[in-house]
Amino acid sequence: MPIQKITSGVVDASVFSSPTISGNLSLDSTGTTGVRVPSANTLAFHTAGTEDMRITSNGWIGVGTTTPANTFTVKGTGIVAERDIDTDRLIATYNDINIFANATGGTNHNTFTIRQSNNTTSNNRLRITGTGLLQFDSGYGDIATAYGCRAWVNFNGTGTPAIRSSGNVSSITDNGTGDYNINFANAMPNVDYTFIGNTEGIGMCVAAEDPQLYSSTTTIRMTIYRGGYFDRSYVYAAIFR
Amino acid sequence: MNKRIIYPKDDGGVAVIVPAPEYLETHTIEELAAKDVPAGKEYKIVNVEDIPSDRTFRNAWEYTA
Repeated sequence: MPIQKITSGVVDASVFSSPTISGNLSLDSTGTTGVRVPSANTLAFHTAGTEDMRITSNGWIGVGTTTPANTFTVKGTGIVAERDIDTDRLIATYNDINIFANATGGTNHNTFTIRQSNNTTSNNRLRITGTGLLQFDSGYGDIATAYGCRAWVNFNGTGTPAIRSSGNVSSITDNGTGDYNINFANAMPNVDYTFIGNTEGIGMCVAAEDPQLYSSTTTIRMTIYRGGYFDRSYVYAAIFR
Repeated sequence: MNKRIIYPKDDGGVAVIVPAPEYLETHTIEELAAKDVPAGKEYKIVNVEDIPSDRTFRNAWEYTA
């Protein structure tokens, strides 16, 4: 019995025993949801007039794509690769890279982890902990919390002072010979940061000038000193927090 | 990069604000002045050529309104 378009009622699975399916199989009254055979040995699944999933002639499945590139290809946003019910983890795997998002589970609660090479904890490379700490293993052997450089600047303090390059620095204020403020483009979260400075010249000391008096979340005052204040051609400063 | 902001220091000298090129990619010199000049200080935006390049007596520079 050839398959006929069914416009109402329940589809009886027995009809699929027929030798050939040709054309579209509509499963709703409007004809926008159903199964289509767009080409030989290919199935396309539609809802509301849009193709959502396709099985190609070589058995590959595409979701959100009509041309799956491998056994199972998903294109779109909010892709869920796998949810491990036992550990309540979201797991995405690509070659030797595993990405985990833990919803629950002791110290791994709400963590996001990227693992490399093989599926063992010793190969964790990057993690955002449940408390928001960014951790990484740069190759020295263990994953640990990273503390970022919050601001940096490289400037010439001689002649007409000028900034060569910088990060999160809006300007420097030239207060006088060997005396500058570094002004942050975005404020520090608090004043408990660390300043590191350097310049050319043996014995030159680059120091934070009386931080309790002159430093804040938006600026830090630094001086270059060696028995007196000096301007230098290459001044380097960085802020860590 | 061709502009500087100057304002008088409390000790009578003059402070010169040197903009970061990266910051001026997304902000104007006026916005920088509003952010980095201490609150309540008068200031001027000047051409870089107006700032002496000889810093021998840098600490003796004075601000004139």
